[in-house]
Amino acid sequence: MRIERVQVYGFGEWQDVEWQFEPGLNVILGRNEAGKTTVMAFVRAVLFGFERRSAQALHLRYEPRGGGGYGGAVTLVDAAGARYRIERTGTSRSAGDVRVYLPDGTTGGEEQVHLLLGKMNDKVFKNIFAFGLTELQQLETLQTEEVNGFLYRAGTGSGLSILQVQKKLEGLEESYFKKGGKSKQLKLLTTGKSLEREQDTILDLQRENETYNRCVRDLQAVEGRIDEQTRLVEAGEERVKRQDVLLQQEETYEAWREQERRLQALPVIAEFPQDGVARLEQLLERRREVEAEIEGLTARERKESAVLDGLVVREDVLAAQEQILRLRDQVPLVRDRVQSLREQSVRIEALDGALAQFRRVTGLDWEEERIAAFDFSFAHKQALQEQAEQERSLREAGNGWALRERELREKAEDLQKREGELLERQEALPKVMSDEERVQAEDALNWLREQLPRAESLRQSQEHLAEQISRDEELLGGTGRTAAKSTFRMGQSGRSDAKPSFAMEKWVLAALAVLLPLILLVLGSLLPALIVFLVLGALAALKWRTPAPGKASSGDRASMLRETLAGNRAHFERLRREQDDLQAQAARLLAPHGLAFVRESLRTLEERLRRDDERRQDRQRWEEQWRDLIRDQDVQDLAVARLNRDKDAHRRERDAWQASWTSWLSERGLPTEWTPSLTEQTLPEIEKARDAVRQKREGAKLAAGWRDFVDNLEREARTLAERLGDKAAFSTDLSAIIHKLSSCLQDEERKASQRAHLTDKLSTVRDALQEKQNLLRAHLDAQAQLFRSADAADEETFRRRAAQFAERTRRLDERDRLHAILLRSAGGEAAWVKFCAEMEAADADQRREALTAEKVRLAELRAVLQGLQEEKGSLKQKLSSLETSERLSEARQNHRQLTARLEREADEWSVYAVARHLLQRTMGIYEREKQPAVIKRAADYFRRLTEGRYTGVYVPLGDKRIEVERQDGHRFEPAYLSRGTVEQLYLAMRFALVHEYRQSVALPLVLDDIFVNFDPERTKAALRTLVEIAGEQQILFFTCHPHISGCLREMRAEHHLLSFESSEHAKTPYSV
Amino acid sequence: MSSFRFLHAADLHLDSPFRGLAGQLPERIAREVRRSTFAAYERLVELAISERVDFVIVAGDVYDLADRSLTAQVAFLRGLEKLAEHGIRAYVSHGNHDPLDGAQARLKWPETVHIFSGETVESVPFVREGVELARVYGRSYPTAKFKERIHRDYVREVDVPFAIGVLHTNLDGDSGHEAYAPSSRAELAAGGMDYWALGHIHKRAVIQERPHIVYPGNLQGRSRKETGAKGCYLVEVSQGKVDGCVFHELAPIRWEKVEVDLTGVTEEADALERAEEQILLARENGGLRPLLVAVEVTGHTELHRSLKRVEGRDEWTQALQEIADDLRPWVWIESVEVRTREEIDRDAWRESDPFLGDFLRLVEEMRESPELRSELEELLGTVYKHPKWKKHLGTPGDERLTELLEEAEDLVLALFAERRDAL
Repeated sequence: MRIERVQVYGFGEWQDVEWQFEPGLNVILGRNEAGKTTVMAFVRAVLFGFERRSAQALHLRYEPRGGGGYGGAVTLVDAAGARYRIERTGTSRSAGDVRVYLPDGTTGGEEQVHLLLGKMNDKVFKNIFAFGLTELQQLETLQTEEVNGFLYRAGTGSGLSILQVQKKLEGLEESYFKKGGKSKQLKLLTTGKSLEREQDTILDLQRENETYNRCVRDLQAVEGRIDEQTRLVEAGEERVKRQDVLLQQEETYEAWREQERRLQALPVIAEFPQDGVARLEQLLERRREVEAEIEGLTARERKESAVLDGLVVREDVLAAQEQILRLRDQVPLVRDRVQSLREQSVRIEALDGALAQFRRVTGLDWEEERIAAFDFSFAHKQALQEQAEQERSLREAGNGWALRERELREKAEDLQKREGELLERQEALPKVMSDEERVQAEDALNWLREQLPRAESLRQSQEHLAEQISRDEELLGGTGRTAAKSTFRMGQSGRSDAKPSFAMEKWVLAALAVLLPLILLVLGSLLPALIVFLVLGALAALKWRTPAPGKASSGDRASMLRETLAGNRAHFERLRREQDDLQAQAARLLAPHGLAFVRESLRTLEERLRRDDERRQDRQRWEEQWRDLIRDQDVQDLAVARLNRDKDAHRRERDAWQASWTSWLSERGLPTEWTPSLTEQTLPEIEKARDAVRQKREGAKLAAGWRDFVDNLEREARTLAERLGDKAAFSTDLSAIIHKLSSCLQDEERKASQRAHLTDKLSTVRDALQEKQNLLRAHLDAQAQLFRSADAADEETFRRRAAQFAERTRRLDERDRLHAILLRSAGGEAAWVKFCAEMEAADADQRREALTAEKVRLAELRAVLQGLQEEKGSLKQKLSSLETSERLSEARQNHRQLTARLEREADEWSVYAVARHLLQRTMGIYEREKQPAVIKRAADYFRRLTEGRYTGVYVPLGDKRIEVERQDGHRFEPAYLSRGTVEQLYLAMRFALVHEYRQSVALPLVLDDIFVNFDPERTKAALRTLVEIAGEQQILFFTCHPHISGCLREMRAEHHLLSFESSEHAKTPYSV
Repeated sequence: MSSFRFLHAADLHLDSPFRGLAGQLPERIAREVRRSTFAAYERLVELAISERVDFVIVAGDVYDLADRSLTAQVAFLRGLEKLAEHGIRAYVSHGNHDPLDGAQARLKWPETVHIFSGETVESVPFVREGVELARVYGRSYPTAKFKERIHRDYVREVDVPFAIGVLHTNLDGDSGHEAYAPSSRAELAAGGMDYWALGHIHKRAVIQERPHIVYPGNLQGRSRKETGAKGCYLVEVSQGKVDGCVFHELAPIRWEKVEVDLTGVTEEADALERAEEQILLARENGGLRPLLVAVEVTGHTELHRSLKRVEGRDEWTQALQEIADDLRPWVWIESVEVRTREEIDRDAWRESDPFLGDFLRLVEEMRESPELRSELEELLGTVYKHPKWKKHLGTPGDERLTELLEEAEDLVLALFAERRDAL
């Protein structure tokens, strides 16, 4: 497809001009503002429509300023030589009105134009086929979807995946290590840093060996110094101790010396009795004691002998001791007896009084003897009791009879009264039927009960039959109507009593069933209303459904009727006969009773019989009462007879008892008029009297005994008293005599015991005296012995020698004790002499001074030692902490572990790094080998346009950008290229795209002065390319540079040259 | 001649840290770990006393003098003092870790202790009740990197009832240890000693008997490589002949490697259960001691992808540690190494996605091409050659590079699969 002719009616500065273009390269030369760009815009506008009316792009519409026609036409010729004239004019539509004149003479619109241009989009045309410098310089102008489709297909199916994988690998790799990276996130860096730190720690810790050795050396030195210092301290301590000892022993030493001096002044007494003085003192003391005792004893002996001599005892009194004691013991008894005698006489008087009283009361003038002899045996008392009981029972029996007699009398009166009453009632009793009469009456009654119903049923049957017969006769005798009438009448008569009421009920019920519920409903009770409605309704319904009786109809069957009539008549006859029989029987049975054969007779007969029964019962009752009376009268008679018999027997018995009682009384000398009960009452009185007699006798006997005893004793006492010459014997009172005797005896007894006691005492004293005198002699012997042994003549010498010996002994002991102390302080026998010399050498004050000085020196020495020991301690501690420190091991272990980690991480990183590297390399290869055809061709064009300086154009995998590769293999993005080179690149790509479009449509290229930035060499290269392309496609190349044409000529390239006269608006282009 | 008994220990490495343990240990465990070498030594002393041995031999590397641990030296001294109190002698030689020229604290050793000279092989008679029962030969390392073949100087004298050679040596050039004072089994066997009390190799071994050549191993395992029971040998000699050589475990903490095969396991919970089983088994085998466990997860499993990821592995470590936290004595999951595999259909990837096809081709190329590998080395250099870290990190070798390529490939494929799953 090429442009053959361009006709402008009006477009920008152009008006009514037209140009012819040739196939191949057309170079249109025009100076600036000659309207070259307008022509390019015109071609674009006619083919794809005017620019839209917008404020910014209004100038791009190129509407003629002076008015007139707007638009024009472009004539295209296709490869086959067919012409298409496309005319676009008018301003009514923004895009203008288009008309295409087709080779066949027809015309078309926008649609046909679109088809004609291979459905190319105006942007693509503007950017790839008709463009100027502005479009060329921008890549974006290439980036329409359509163009992209040609450019960026390098990614294939996995393009996106590759990039993602690459990114992932990069991420992984960079999490370990990144060149120049410093982030703490980088594992290798972190581990490396830790490793370095640990290494430093180890280096520090390794210096411990030297430290340790130094410490050991220091320790040894300190220990040496400590030994030395210890020795010094010990020597100082020794000195202090010595001075201290000397100072302490100063006094002791002096004391010892004193003792030595004293000892030398004392005589030497080698031996002295042990405890001599004490023993002497003891002897002397004892002697004095014994002598005093002897004196006391002698005095006592004298005194007691005198007492004994003055003591006289009556032996005769002592001899009667036993008798006197016995008498004294009897005194209380005597007193008792005298008292008893007095009481006894009083009692006897009282008893005599009681007896006198008895005689007076009983009237029995009995002697004491007789009273004492009265029989009070058990048998006697029993006999009396029996008599009394017998008398009592006899009396009671008499009382019983009187009672019975009275009862019987009362009964007899009662019986008499009952007899009178019964006889009165007998006369008033009514008459009764005879037995025969009664049988007849009962028979008649029974018969009536049987036959009366039969007679009635007979009569009814007769009536019924008679009626039927008469009806049958009428039926039989009259016409059908009569029969019907009769039937009707019969029906009428049947309904007359049933139907009216039945119908009424029906209607009433129905009315009620409706009305009652309504009333109830009006009153407001729904449920009762419902119930009443249902009940009454049901009843009414029942009534309504029940068929009314007697709706039968009859037929007219005469013969049958006649037969029936005959049968009925016969039957009627039989019935009448039966009735006659009954009447006859009734007359026979009922006549005697004056009754007729009717129902009334039955009731009358029954009444009669009932009354007769009542009368018979009355009569029977009376007869029973009469029989009872007769029986009671018989019993009464019998009782009276028995009573009389018993009364006689009792009287006899009583007489017998009276005789025996009288004899019993007289036997005992009691008055015969006494009753047994009186006798029983008197008996205790007699008994009491007898007891009084017995007591009186016993009392008298006792009193006699007591008097004898008292008299004997009194005699004895008086005799004794006389014998002992006691005046008391003339006293009247027995107890006084005895008292005197016994007190005399006591005196004598006391004296006798006193004498015995004194005798004993005296002999004891005498024995003791003898003993003490012996003891005194022994003491004196011992004293003499003691003196002898002490080599002393007397006590004084003895005592002096004793004192001397004691002092000597004491001093010797003290001296030895002190010596021992000193010897201990001195440090043994060997040091003794030296010690003494030292003691003698200085006095206490001097020594004290020396001690203080020593002590100060010692303290100094000790302080130094303490310091050394502390030093040693700290060294030892340091050593031990160095010895047991685990820090180094820990650091080294950590170091090892970190190294391991570093190795591992490096390993891991290696895999990622290698993988990424491999991937990247593959991507390089792939990009080189698998670029789209357009890019490949663009690379080719680019290489040619840059005269081989740039060897490749790449679209990186999956990316929407391009890179160029220089001869040396370096790749750039276009941004890094020079302006001209960029334009060459983009031109190359456009050429490649044009080539690509050629497959579908080969539109002419319109280029507007695009080599402005090309150097001459590259311009030539570009022109060569243009010429080459022009071999395939028409090119309209607008330029303001005349040299272009010159170049082409130089190159001998075929082209057509056109020139614009800008000032004149030349109508005919310049053509070569 | 009568009988006697002694303890043979070596490589006490008192107060030297444990390797590994990249995770953060709880303080109670950390303390036990720090104390463990001491505790093991204390047990050695107690064993000597309770077994009433006549003497104790320590064949070098008592402590790491490079670490200059004073505590270690003092602790060693205290132990020897305690032995001395019980009349137990001690023959100590120093090895490459505690050579005589190392910095040492000034300590006064009990008279019952003999520390072998660094200048020459000494022979010290062991006399009991006036009768010499044995003669102990030995020499300490005068300096750390001591490579003389000193065993030749161990010469049995005349009338020696029983000769013991105390030697810190790398026998037959064990590749796992530095070749100090090298010797060979044949040489030692012919050396005239009755018992070679060796040190240096941390794995215990009775190399041979009559004459006995014995490595007691170290006293306490200190890294995941030093697994199993650690202790010393109690040697009984009677009539000039070794009568018994019995190992006694002394280490308070054990290292164990636990392999968990997850082949066929698809559920996380099942995997954990399997791991727990293995850990418990290791614990029982270890006599219920405190345990440091290095877990290695192997086998073909669907869990591979999640395990392989750092977060996945960390989660796993944490989950296992949570299980272990309930155990007493304690169990610490020292590390979890994921060596599981997943069958990846690389061809399918290649076909389905040209990009991944390119990627896989590139990895393939990398594996083969030394140039491309050096590119990787340069890349890794940013970390491995980092001025502050390079001394702690060894440069990854070829093997590691191959491993890295494999792991990187796994990772990228896993990420893409994840993406794809997300879509």
